[in-house]
Amino acid sequence: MQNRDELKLKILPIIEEALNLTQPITDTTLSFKEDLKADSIDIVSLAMLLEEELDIDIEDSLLDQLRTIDDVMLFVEEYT
Amino acid sequence: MKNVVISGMGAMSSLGLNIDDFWKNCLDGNSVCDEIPDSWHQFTDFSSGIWSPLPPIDYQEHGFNRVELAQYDKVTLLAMAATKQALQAANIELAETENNKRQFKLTNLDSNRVGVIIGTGIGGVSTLLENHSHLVLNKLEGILIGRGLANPIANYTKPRRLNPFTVSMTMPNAVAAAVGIKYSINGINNTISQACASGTSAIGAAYKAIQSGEIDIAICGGAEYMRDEYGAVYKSFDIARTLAIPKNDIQTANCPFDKDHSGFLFSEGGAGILVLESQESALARGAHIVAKIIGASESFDAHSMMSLAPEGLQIKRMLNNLLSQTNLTSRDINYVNAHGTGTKLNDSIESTLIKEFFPHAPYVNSTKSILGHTIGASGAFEAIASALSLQHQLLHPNLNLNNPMTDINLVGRKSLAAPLNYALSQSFAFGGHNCGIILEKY
Repeated sequence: MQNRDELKLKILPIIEEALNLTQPITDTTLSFKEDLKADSIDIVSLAMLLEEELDIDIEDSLLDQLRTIDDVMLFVEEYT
Repeated sequence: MKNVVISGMGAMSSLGLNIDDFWKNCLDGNSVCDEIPDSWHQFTDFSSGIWSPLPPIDYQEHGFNRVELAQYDKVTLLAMAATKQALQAANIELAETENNKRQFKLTNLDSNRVGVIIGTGIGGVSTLLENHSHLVLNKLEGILIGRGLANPIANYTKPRRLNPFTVSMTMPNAVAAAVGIKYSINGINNTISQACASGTSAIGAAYKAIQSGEIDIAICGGAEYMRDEYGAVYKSFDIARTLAIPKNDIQTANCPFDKDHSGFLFSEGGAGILVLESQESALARGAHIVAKIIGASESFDAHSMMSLAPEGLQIKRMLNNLLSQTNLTSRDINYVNAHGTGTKLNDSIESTLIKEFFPHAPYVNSTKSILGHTIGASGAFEAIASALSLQHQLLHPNLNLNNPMTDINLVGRKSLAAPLNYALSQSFAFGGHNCGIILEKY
């Protein structure tokens, strides 16, 4: 289990890169679809970057459950 | 009918990752020829064993982020990088769109009047092979390990996951589509797949679309990427006995129109992209014009999937159409950039045709003698070489020409200066496609 702040430092830049965000993420309750205007392609891209960066596997069936940044944090917390 | 000019060019090739390096290495005859990767030999034997690899490319330096690297096959990345160069050379300004999708729009241009026509022989084949290997090898490895058996494929390259973008990476139209999306271009977006004639055909189609007034500007050319982890694409050409077989020195094995010719030098790939536009558009923008394109024609052999028709009747018909379009006679052509693969069949038929059709002995060279064969991109590189020859009044060598198998007027092993007004660039392809364009000095 990683410290949540350490995890944020790792994960938020990956999300910013995958979604091409120009501003740093400050609120982890933001939803991908409604708040960040991400589409399914963005979420798949995010999953691929997370897998590459964190050396983890994300099942395709899980992608629909990753609705917010907190969901991603929680998934990675539990995975690692 | 509109006059059509070339106002920008870009190149990603084994001879260099920009037009200046490409042209300098063409003129200097600096071919890149090396042994194929050692890892390929664990899968099969090869008759040739040489190729022309691309230099190491840091795609992030060319402006791509990791998302784009995951979503695009290298054939598309090469085309997009060459397109960026061509747009810059054409002095077309770009502005980033506001949708956070790393897209741009062409400033001060009507995007509906701009088109993209790019040729590719086999599109994103390396992506398909890579993902196929994931399915097959990971499953097999799992079975071997599960049964406690020896695992001879432990060291094989196997992607860890099936890329969810495999379809959109593999489809040949991804190349032109990605360029259209990247630069928010809404005019015609077309993919031409005519094997080795793809690039020439794409330029011809772009020329006609501008000439007819359908669009004002076209991004056109060709792209190919043929490396895979197993040498599968290479082996496919090798087993068809199309590749150059070295005798002693691998550096002299690629020798189109020489008596020792034995096949072509397989290129890892590349992309040559041109910006074509109506002369009035180029002049209005103050663009730097490289050369004019004044004719484009095609014909089809309907003879064999892999061999030129021996009499070349359809090539002659294509050439006659070109001359009648341009109101030129064959004697007006000063320079023929030949298809010039280095296969015995091509060189024999092509040199006979050139001698017959152009009895005044224009200069002839083969860009493939230096670059190797980039299949769907080759016609684009040859159009670029032809345009630069007209612009600089210089011809690049026909490399490794020691004992010509023909008495056509081949440029020798050194570049030479020559007065050039009109150039023909011609390509012939598996399937039976014959394509040619005529360029004029500007």
